[in-house]
Amino acid sequence: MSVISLQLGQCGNQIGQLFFDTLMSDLQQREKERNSKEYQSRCLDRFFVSGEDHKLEARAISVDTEGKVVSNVFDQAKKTGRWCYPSDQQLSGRRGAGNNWADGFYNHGAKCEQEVLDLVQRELEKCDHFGGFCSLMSIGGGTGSGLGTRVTRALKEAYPKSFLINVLVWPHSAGEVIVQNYNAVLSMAHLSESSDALLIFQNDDIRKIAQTLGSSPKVTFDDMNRVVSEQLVASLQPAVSHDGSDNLLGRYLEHLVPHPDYKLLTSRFLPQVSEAAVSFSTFNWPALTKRTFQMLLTQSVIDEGLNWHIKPSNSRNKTLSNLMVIRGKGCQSVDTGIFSSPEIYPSWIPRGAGFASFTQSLPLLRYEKSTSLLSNCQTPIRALDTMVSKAWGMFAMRAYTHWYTRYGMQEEEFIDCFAKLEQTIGNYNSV
Amino acid sequence: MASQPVKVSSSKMRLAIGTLCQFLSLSGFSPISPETLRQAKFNKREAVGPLLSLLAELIDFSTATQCAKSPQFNREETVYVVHSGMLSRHFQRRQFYLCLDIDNSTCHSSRELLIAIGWLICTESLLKQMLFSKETSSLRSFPDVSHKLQERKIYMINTREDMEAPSSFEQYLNGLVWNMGKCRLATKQWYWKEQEIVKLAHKIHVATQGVSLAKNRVCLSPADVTILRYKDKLEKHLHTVEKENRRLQMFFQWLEKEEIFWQWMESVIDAENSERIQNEDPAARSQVDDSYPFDDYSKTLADLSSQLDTTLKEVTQRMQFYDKSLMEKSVPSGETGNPLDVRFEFVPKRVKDHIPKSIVHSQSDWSPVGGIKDIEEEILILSKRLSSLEAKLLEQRDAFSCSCTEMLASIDGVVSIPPILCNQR
Repeated sequence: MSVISLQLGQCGNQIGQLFFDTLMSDLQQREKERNSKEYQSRCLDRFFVSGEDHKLEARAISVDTEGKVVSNVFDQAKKTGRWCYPSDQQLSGRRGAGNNWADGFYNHGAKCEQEVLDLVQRELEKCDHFGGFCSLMSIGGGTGSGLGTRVTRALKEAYPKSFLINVLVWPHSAGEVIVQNYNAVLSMAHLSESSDALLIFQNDDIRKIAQTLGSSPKVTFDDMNRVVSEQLVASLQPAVSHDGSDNLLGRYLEHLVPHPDYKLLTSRFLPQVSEAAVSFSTFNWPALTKRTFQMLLTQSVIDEGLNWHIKPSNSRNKTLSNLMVIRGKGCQSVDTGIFSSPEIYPSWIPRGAGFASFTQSLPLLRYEKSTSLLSNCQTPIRALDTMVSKAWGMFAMRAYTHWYTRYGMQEEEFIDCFAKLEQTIGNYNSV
Repeated sequence: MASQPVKVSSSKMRLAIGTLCQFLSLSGFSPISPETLRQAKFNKREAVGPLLSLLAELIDFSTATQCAKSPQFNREETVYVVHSGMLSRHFQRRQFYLCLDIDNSTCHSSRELLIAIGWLICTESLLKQMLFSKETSSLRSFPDVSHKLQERKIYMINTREDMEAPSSFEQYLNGLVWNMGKCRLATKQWYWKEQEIVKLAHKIHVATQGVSLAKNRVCLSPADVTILRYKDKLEKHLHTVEKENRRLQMFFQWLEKEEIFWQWMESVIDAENSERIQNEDPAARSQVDDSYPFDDYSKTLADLSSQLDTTLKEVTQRMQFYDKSLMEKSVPSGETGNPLDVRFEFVPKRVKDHIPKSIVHSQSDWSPVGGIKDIEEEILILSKRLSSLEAKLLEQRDAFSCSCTEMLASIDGVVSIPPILCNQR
């Protein structure tokens, strides 16, 4: 299965570059291990293609309204010497979208939509088994949110049978961009229609995890991007289910988001220990699964300050589906029975059908044992509700709406987007 | 002189029956031993179970699905499938349906099941169909993924059973949409799998151009490449080919021994007949012969026949007399029948007054005039008058018959008898 990544905007490109880098680092560490050749070959086939001079080229397309970020990312990839981006699979402009969703959607998006589709077609022709698209973008700015939304919609129209997952980075709740809530609301509303699944990473949570993992309290965007890329690698690297089938993107989506009204996914990864502390830590499977389950019950993505009084019967986090990827020695014997507890699922989901797991005996990166849980649950709803409320507060005063209407956007579109998101919040709250 | 059937040795019969059993087993049907068929000939109870299952599978195979052993029937379903399947195929053996007990999901006669199986195999040429059917062949798909399909099927059945009864319409709807979403996404996956198969097959064809393991191909197929690359798959494939080869050999053997098998089946039916005769009460048979009053009935019939002849004679005589009297009445004695001498006879209930006078006839109203010369002139005149009178009479007859018809239409119980005309002119 080959996955084509679309790196949209500054955040998307930076996360994408780190994602491929993390992949290659993991594969390098696995080279010395036994029975790793087939695993490496599957991983490389999934994310890379052999280009000219037998160099590994990422199956990726980089798009940004500014050329600086894309060229930076390309250079960093080349510097590693292990992989690179295909030189003709990039699209950049001269002027950014100015943190304006409408500029990104109506202006830049309209101009480069066809070119992006051509790049996608070229990349698609290299795939023997196409698994789906994975778009990386932030929704607080202009390019990632606006142009990213436009590209997602175009992809869905051009390839209606393909699988499409959007990895979204939500801005900080107290962010720097004044219109970030507008951008987020508009993006979320459009993407919930075009995309098959939305995997959400909230900057607030990622920052806390990065603080835990880092040696210093000061956290850079690079650290946060690394956290996101590690969690993506943990979820998307090859693994097999109990019946021997691969963890294809289609299988993920079939299990996680079959209901079209519920598309929001959250990622939880354990262990969350710094590189320095790994050598002094021991992990066992029951502890990892128990902590992951508790994180789910308490709507937390951080492995700190978990409230152990919350049980499945009194948990406020109803979940529609869970998918766990277990990596490390002895992964086949892990007991994941607690995730099948019927109390955490709605009654209309058949017993046992809400949970699925994939295993891989080879460890991931520096972790001897690791678990990565993708959940379709109520965790992101509180943050979404806050975002919508703040955006509505501004819209009620018609604050900054002229920034959007000057690009041809109507006020009705705002109202439609608010309504859609209210509907999404209502759907999740009624589970 | 009629030819006597050739007596076949029991060993050849055993071989023929064994060939059939082996062929059915290699084609994927429930394994059945020759001993079971022998037991069925003597109507043993032990043979009922295996033969019932086999018959259900054969019926299922011969329907549109053409799939051996695809559904696993339970006991109730088996008997029902057998009953309805044979009925729909117009199997008219009454004893078969009488021995099928649908209420208790069983059958009381293994012999009837055996006869039904033989009939089905013969009429629908099932063995030939099995030979050419892809579903019964071991080489139907490579690699064989039927076990994965079966696992998926069991998973879906268990999932359906585990679903709680919805407490509200909204929950029911959500469950349906959830299921539909699963189907939609699974269909998408299947679409991309098909795309991959086509692309890889094309790659293999291009890479192996000029090398082939089959006469009608110029390159290797994906199955060939899989076998060549993986040793364990090669061994498995060899095993499958050997099994298919054995099946073909069994079929050829069957073609040679088929006649012997049907002779044995005839002996099964003979066994059934002799059993039935033995079971009948001989006293009851003779009672029927002695007490039945055939003689009395034949005497009665003879009497009735002679009575009928006598009656017919009498009726004929009366008819003749009646005809004669009718003729005498209409034509007085000594006179020849004159076509002009017509008389309409009425069988009246009342006499009508408006009978035209011209109808009433009289011969005496006319008399000759003068001597011989005069007689000749008279004859001339009379003949002229005769012809005019004839014409007039004809006209009046027609007119009268018309008016009579009109008149009689309104009278009840009156019948007009038209004049008896002699064709003597």
